[in-house]
Amino acid sequence: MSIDIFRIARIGAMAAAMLLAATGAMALGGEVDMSWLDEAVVAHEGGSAIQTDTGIAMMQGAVSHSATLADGLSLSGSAWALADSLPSYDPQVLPTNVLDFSSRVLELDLKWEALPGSLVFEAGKKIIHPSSTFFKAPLDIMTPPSPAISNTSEQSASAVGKWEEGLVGAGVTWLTGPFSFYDYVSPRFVWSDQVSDAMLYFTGDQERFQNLAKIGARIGDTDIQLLGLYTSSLSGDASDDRYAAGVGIDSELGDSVTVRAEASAFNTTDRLVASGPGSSGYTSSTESVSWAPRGVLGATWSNADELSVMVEYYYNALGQIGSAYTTLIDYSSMRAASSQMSGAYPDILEQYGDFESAMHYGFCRLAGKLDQDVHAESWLEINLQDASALYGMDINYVRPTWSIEASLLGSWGGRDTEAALLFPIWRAGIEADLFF
Amino acid sequence: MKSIGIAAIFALVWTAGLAAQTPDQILASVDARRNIDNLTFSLRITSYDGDKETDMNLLWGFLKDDPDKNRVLLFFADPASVKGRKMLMDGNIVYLLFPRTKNPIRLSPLQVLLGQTSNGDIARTGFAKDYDVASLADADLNGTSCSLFDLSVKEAKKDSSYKRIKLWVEKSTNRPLYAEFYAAGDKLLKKAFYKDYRPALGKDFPFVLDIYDGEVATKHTVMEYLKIGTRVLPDTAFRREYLESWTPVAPQ
Repeated sequence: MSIDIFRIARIGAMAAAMLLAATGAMALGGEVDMSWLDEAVVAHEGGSAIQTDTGIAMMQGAVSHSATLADGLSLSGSAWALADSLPSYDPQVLPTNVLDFSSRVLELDLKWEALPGSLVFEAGKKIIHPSSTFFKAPLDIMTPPSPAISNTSEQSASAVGKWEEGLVGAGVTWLTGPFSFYDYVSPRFVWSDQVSDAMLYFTGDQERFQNLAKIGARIGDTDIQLLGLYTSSLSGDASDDRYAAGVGIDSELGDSVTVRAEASAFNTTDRLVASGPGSSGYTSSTESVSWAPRGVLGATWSNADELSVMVEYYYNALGQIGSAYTTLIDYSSMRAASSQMSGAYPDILEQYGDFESAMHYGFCRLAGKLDQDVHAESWLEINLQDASALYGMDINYVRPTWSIEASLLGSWGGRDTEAALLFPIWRAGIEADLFF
Repeated sequence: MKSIGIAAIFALVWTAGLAAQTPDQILASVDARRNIDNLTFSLRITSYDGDKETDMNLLWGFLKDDPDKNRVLLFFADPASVKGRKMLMDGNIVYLLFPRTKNPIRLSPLQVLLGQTSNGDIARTGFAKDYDVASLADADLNGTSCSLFDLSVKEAKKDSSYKRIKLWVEKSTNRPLYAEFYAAGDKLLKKAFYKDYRPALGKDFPFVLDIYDGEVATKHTVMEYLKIGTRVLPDTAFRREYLESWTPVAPQ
């Protein structure tokens, strides 16, 4: 009961903050999005597949504020709230309530510029994003808190969600000569259920200690960053600690083309693999993979009329190829087709994430300005192994304090392909945004 | 009478000195009259199509004038739809940081910033740094006696969007009044009028720059400095890695 009171009070506080910000009574900024989506998915029931249509309505918003407390000392933060009619995003799972409410502090960062422009200390809760690629983000190697705010039901082409949650920790940035050094330490804390409930609106449990170090430099016109990450094991056993290394470069070719490349790898990563079919059907098991690199190579061409074309190639050594990939897809197809299998067998595709179970992917995006206030984009993500794809297009009318966006997303490929197993057949949406 | 004589001698010496200057040196002296190093500013950029206002943005910024290139830190303060964006222009290299993302993305130099305004229009504090004087002649601009500089981009700056500039400078004041910017092949990209000169921080500063599209005569963008001042920031503040740490405050 007390939790409900907490929840209602916080939702009320969030709504009041948004209202105050919208009326200009506080020096805040923010955004409120109202969206309605309709999507068609394949549902399996009693051995047959049927297409179901589902409508989802949601409203989410974030307020942000930045204040200078003293010379060189500042505090900034943002909080987020969501009202969602289908929090599971699964049309076969009925929500408990008409609307499900969530809210969370996304960031809260106390910053001290000990040497202005050169040495900055910070503490609080912060989103860490070293990656500068678009479709996938190999350098975003820190594990988010649990449960992190997901990308809600947005399905954009970007690897980075619109509403992300930071990691609690402390960091330092030191800029000297042509180099920059950055280190962020995020402690491990797993509290009792009671404390976790009380802290729910600030942060979820952080199950691992993590320390990210980054060195940046520019050589000529090329930006280079080197990353190292130490992350403790879930069990506390030091022999299960993990390490990762990453490298990224950004540069440009002439007046109109920017290029980027980045890659990272962990010393060890566990993954589920499927095998079979044998005498007992399909089976799954866990295996460890050492130093399996993930990398993106990409380029963007743009012109003075705000037209841009982006292409990216993603290599994922954690994914499967050849007969192992075929087995994985067959396993997943069988599992999806049978509710009995769904309960008895782990969802291996879910473990990989969206478009992560194969080794080779491609991406392209065309974006441009149709008019002063009208922007449009279309994009295509393609699994280069089974030729299945996810595509999307949207058109956005933007005014200084509001915008309205229409979007369409669809998957393409045969029944036994990754796209067909992961994504809806199509999804259409309308979103209205208010900015303040 | 003695003082008048001394003044006349000084004037003669100054005029003789000016006459001895090369066209490039004259251009540098034109720049020096209005350049303010370590400039902080609040800048309103308004775009028009005819008389209709199509877009307005308020930016806060810092400009560092280096010998070989200019660097600018920008914060988008208004309207709400773009509020919170931060931009770094480091010579020809441009980084943009969106709110809620943490790693600045690189933009190509060709991308237009706002309306008819390019990154270079905000970063440019003068012409001599990037351009050589190909020719210098007398010209009349709407009844005002001017020096007409025909400028060609230096070899080291050949990545610049403008390969050639024609610049009209008022003879009596050394104020740039009007310029035409050309791409390769002498295609006229934009025309700019320098207006509202006022004394500020010891210089003769144009507070308004009105930029017209080279092809569509009705489209123009007005850059208007609302507040200016100076503040020295270290070189490291104009680095990609500092953008995320930078906490902008409104220029005073």
